[in-house]
Amino acid sequence: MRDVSSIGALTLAAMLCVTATSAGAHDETKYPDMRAQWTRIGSAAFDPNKPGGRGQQPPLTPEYQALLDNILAVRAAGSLEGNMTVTCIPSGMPRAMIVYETMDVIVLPETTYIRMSYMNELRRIYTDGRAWPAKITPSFVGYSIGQWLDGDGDGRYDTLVIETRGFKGPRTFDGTPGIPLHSDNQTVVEERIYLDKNDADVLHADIKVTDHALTRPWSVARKYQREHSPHWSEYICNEGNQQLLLGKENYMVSADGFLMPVKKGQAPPDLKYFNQPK
Amino acid sequence: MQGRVLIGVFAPALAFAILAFAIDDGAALDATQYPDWKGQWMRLGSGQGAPWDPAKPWGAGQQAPLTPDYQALFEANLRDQAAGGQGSDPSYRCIPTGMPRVMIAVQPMEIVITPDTTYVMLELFGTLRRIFTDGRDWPKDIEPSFAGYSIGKWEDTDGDGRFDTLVAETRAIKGPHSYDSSGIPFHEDGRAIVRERITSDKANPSVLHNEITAIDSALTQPWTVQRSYRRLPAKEPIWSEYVCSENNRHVLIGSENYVIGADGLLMPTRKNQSPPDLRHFQ
Repeated sequence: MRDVSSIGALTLAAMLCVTATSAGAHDETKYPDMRAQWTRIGSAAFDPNKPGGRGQQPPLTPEYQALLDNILAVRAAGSLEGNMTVTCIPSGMPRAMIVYETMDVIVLPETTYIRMSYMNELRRIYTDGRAWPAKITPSFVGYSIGQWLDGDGDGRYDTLVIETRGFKGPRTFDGTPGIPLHSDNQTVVEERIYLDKNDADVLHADIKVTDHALTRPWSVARKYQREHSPHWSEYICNEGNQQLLLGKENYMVSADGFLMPVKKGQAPPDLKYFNQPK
Repeated sequence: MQGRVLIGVFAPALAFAILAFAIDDGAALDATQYPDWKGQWMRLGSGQGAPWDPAKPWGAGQQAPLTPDYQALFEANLRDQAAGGQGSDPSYRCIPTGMPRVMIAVQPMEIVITPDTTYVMLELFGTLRRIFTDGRDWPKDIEPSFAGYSIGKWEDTDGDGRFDTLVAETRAIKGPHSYDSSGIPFHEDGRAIVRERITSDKANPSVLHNEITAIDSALTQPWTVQRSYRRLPAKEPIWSEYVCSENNRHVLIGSENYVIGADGLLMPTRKNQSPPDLRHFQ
């Protein structure tokens, strides 16, 4: 299922001989200037180059295509089923890389940190040469190992190649409509992150997802814009979130503080644990 | 400063790809100028309930120098907690604990130092503090946040040519927030100022001290506490993902707190609590 590690293959291809920093110092001149606040370019669909919904043409297996069709049907009826972020469950990878709000990239020799303000997700991409741990505690963002490459041989790193495993679910590729990843959470996400050759204020992320919900790996190319005057906002999902999940049913809390249905004809919640008037 | 290191990297698929990384020093972040605060830090010395002042008991035992108004609010909150309520602590609804409470470090903490910003990454609520050390002035307008807006300055207190202490001031802290889980309140005017001196222990580099002073209109005088953290020895520490909403059973509908039972049904949190009003259902 899993491709041969792209990190290894690309490492060989690049045949690097890079002058880098010692363990005690971080020579930023060896690394691309990615430390900044970044915002999304393009749509919030997983593949920004295609329309949302079925227009994404995800290469889903018949089983997961049926799941998606069901999600689309219930969404059309007003439900938010299949999109866990409405109840403040993080997007996880690879959806986090859509970057709904802003993204911090902090490059240090041993670790590159990618921090999303949306849902406060923090990715640690280890570039210290470590091997995959024997056991990974699953998480929504996964466990990431990366390697810096000097693709053009100019003595400076230009590309961060990442592989991410060890996921928790449920996760979807995006929120509209919520294309599902497989419930076995055996997803592998491979990324190449690099600055645009002609515009250092544009960051590219080429993302390839291998997952048992797919008939073949799904690759998309995303871009981000550097913010020169960043405004740091704090995204607190639970603050003012009106969505409520009771069992498998979504409801809303209205502005006046009352429980509301989210779809026509929705039954009220079962209140059997309350002492109801006879 | 000519440490040269050979890093051998074995490509996973083909072991012959050994890359030679010749090393020399950089200028942009000379880590030798800064203390080594890498790693995973956990709180030291907090007693039961993780009280704000780790040297005193939780709750009234903290002897917070509150004004009479805020002392009365605090006591009402303690009574509510004793009766099974949540008091004035909003974190049960997955609202971040914010500054300065987050510096109790109930969950692990990472400190990432760059010349212009020191990032304090708290696992609890995924709170990220940016302490700007680039010499900036306070902005005219600051959007309040639970982490607040922090400006810091590095100091070389012993004159050995290396920074050893980060002095930080944090303003624009959003509320409601409290010092700890007992609900010791901050003033609702949102004008609290928190000052910190974060410094390495002289004898043990794996211990960090943080002298934290809160200046707030709910206090009769600044309140200073001494907190400490220890660095865990793991070379590759395990970082967990704290997702408060994942298993949180608390629900606020209007001004009433309820919980969601294991069967997904709404439940009361106190005896004879009224169910939610279902007027919007047909």
